[in-house]
Amino acid sequence: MNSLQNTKDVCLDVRHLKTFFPVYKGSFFKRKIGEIKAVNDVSFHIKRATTLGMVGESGCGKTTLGRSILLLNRPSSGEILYNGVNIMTLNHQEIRALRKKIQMVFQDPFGAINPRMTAGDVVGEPLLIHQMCQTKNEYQHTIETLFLMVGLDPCMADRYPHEFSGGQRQRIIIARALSVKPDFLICDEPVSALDVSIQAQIINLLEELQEKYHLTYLFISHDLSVVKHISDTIAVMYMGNIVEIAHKNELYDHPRHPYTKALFSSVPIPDPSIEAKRKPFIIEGEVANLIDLPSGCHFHPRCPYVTEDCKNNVPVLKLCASDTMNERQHWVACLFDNNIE
Amino acid sequence: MLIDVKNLSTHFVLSRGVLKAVDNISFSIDKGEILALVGESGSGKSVTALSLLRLIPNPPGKIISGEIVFEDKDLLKLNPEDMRHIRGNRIAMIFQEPMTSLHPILTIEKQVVEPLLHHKKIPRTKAMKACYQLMEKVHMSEPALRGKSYPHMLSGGMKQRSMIAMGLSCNPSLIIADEPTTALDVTIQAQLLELLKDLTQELGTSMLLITHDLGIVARYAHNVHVMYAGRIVEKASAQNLYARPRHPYTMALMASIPRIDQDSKKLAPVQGNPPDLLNLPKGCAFYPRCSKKQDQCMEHAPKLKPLSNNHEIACWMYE
Repeated sequence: MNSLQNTKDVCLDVRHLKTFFPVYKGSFFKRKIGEIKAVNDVSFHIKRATTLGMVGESGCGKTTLGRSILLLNRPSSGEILYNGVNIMTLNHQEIRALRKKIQMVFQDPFGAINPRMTAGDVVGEPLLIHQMCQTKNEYQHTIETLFLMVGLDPCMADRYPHEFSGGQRQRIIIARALSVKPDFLICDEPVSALDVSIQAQIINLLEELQEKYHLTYLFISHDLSVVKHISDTIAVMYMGNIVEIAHKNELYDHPRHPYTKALFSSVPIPDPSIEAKRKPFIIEGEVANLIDLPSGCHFHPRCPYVTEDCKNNVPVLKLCASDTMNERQHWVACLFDNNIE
Repeated sequence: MLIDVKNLSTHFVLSRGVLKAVDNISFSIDKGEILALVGESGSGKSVTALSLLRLIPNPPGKIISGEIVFEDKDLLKLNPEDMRHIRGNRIAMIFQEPMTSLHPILTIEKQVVEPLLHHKKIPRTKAMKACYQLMEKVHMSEPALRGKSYPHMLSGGMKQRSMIAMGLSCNPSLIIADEPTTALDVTIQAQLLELLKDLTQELGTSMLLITHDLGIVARYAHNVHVMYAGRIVEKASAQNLYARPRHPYTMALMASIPRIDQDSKKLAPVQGNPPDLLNLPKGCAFYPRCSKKQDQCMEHAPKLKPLSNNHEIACWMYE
């Protein structure tokens, strides 16, 4: 994944990123008994003004990955290149400046806003922190523009968060993220807490903003239909690893990894006539314990195609198909790269 | 006909006014049928389910009117003792959150065996045996070990499996599944729904499936009722509803969800915000968000009327 044709196009390049959390036992004589390998050797890159969708089940490390990129969880090792600069070597001040460029949209619209601040102050706080407004007038004006940008009425700026619905709060959170004019947004499950009829509003808003301001998104979600809709490229995570990464249509039409195939097959299609013909490919079992990772391929205890090899050898992400015309590549981490269809 | 609900209304009396969570709805479920109730949060799906079992907290909630005829008895007229023989025995419920609906300090086997001991009045040893058979039936690996564990020791999927085992323990004729897989991952969701479908088919149990996921409805339901602001706005077979949705709300909902099998075009979101149930508009509740509104929608609420065979709709457009 490191041999990139044109590094200028790449907004974010993550190489061999690892984020481990130590696990302790005992209260007085604390000793480390293991590590949770939340993100375990993950590499990918995102091209400017495109969206990378990160999917996986809960506990697969997708949220930790998002937080690691913002250095909210300190990665254990690896490189995160943002516009060619390794942000893991930056000092405190430089990180602060960097957070002006990379912003995050959080999952829970009820937990991510301070209930004692007015909506206007919530949106304006980053402006004050980064000292982006010289006068009070300019500050007010910026907040008004931000409100309009996300489709909220500026006269609601004096209201408190509890007076807003879930969808409106999510708009406030997006406005707050956009206030410092970032060019990269990490969206961590931005629509999963919303009602179906509201989800589409927020998805459309994110798409419009991307087009208008050439934003780059890392879109983290467990909802495959939403990810497939909004992303250009999709990466599938399983137990801290990326197991497959490809352009969304390529991934949907020709999944190579058994887990990807199971994921897509698990999502019911809202059309009974299609569903009647579909034969769901259901995998048994559940995600294994993260402290005690299975040997070899982490997916082998659930994989229907498992062989002895899978139990002993760790598969690495390798190129299995590439479409040079559109610069699209399909990478998969499976020992068998034959088609499983 | 297994259960026939007529003109059910459940209201909550709050300090700010009367909240009509369920407002005059009627439906019926046949033997072996899977009926899906679809709607957004606050549309009254869960309150409908709780009303069927008379589990509405009173106060503030109250079933104002209606009839629930189940196996030739009106559940609303039963005394509390008789009602208890229905719950968990003839009608079982699988709740949304397995994390909170299991008792945290009782082992799984104690909870699965409880309905058997209570309703079937069989000796404990025999009940225990049946309990382990049930746990095998819902594909819990190592039932002997799982049975002795406490809920917090199990994963979400395992907890929901034990909920299903509890629900099926007395061979109920109706299972109410209230968002049974919302809190779970997609691969686990697929496992559990297949299991539920197979078991209900095998035992001839009917199911009331409550969900907001139109995909799940398409995969499993025979018939669908769409709810909005406490009322049923459209009733149809699953085939018909997806092929020809008629109510503007149903149409808008279908257009607003991204589909995994189709290439992305722009989504058409439902305009506006979900209704405030304490402050509903005078006429049709969907009126403020509707793209096909007429003058009379503002004044009078439309009634559910048959449109064609097996397709009913509450909208002035089809009058």
